[in-house]
Amino acid sequence: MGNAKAAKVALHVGLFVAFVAVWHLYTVIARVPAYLLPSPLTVWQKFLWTIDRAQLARHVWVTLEEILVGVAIGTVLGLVFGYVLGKSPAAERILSPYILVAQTSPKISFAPLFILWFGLGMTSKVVLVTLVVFFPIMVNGIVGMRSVDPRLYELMHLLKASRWQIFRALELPTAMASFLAGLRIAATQSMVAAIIGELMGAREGLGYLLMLGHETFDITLVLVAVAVMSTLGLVLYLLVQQVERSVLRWRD
Amino acid sequence: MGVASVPSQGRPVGSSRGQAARIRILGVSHTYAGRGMPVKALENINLTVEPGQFLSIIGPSGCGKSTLLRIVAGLVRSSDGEVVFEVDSGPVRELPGGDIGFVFQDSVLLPWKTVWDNVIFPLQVLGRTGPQAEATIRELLELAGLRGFERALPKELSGGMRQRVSIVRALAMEPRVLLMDEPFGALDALTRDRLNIELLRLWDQHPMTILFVTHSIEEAVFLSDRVVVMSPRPGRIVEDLAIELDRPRAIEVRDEPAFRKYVAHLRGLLG
Repeated sequence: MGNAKAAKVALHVGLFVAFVAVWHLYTVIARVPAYLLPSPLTVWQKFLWTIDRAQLARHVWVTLEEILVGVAIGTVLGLVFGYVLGKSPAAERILSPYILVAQTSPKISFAPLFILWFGLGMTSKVVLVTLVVFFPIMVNGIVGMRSVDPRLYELMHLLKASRWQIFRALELPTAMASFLAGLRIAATQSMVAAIIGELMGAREGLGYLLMLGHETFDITLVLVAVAVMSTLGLVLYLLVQQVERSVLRWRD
Repeated sequence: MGVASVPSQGRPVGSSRGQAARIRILGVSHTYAGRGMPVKALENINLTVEPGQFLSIIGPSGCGKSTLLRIVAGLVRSSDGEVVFEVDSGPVRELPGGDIGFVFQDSVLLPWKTVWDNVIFPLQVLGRTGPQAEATIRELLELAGLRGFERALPKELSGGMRQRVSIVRALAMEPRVLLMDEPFGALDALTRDRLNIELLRLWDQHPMTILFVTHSIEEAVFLSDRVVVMSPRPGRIVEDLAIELDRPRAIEVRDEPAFRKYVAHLRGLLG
């Protein structure tokens, strides 16, 4: 058991080392100019430089804050609307064409508008993240509410349970599975939304760093930004997955 | 297992919490609106179930047995007629929360809660938890052969065990009325026999009025004080038969001539 796990970790580390080695050898052997593809060592040095001289931590924090605040607001709104629409099929029927349009439209395309309306600061990115997070949470919330066993509602009825008791003891735990599935989608999407928002216009954040690298032909900085974003995205995904695992332990 | 039997007779009508209720079903008819033609499910059902009585309802599929049970539970409003419960305080249209227990064909448990949490759940909703309630639950779990499984999740239990949990859950709130809709229909014959015995034992210790819907004539005769036979749709009562077999009843009762006579009579009616 422990051995198998160690072997797995060793495999992953080995693959990563091999990837970096191939990358390095390629830049040396093929003599790729650094302005097209710098070697991994150069990127690493730039990473350290960015921490030291370009306030990398602050940029990471700005992006993370936009994501966290946006996800929080989007989740609360999504759950409220998901609950109401899940409870009222009539309301859902009336709103469904709008929901469908909103769902299929690329919400990212609102970014320029939000920059115009809410400025270059964090607000415009938070609004964009909220918008992107809202829909998967709401739609999964509706699905979750509908997946409650009707016979459990009947048992609650026989107990003369209050609306709050039904929500707390029955609907919330039942909907949790599909809510967390929605949150997993939302976590990935929220990252994209924050970055796109920053690319469109910002003074700080990882997207801003990416844009800076692009505009100054500093591909090493671009690669540093990409690597940091990828890591951040992975961490967010794993975080949700971990929550999912511990909350849904009762499932098969 | 074969010699399992029900302990002492002379059961008092009433539990530690309150009396079992008399159920009066008065001229109940029901028509489903449905798509196209309305379907008449029940026609003028009149039936009085005495406090503490075990009454089974049998009849062909679609005769409205389940509908009748749901009307008694207040889950479906009948098109005509009414159901009245008579308790110590007098006749009422509706019993307070927790006075009616309902057991479905398959166990309807909360999959994220353990056996213990599932069983205590109704009492939490009712705000009736406490050391005495917990003692009752422990005793019921013991009687139902679930001791040692308190911390298990439903997914870790067999179908028969899950159904026992849902029965214990219904009994834990000490209802005045217990409605059971083919509770053992999905189980194999052996498990079914065992749960029949266990149900009688639980009923003996926690008296309540039981309305039991089943497809099985043998099961109905074995369990009941009275068996009511319903006609095909629209359901009407075509027979109301008192089962005068001694209690406690062991599984061997089914080999007795008197038992076979009841079964043959009922089978003839259901032809």
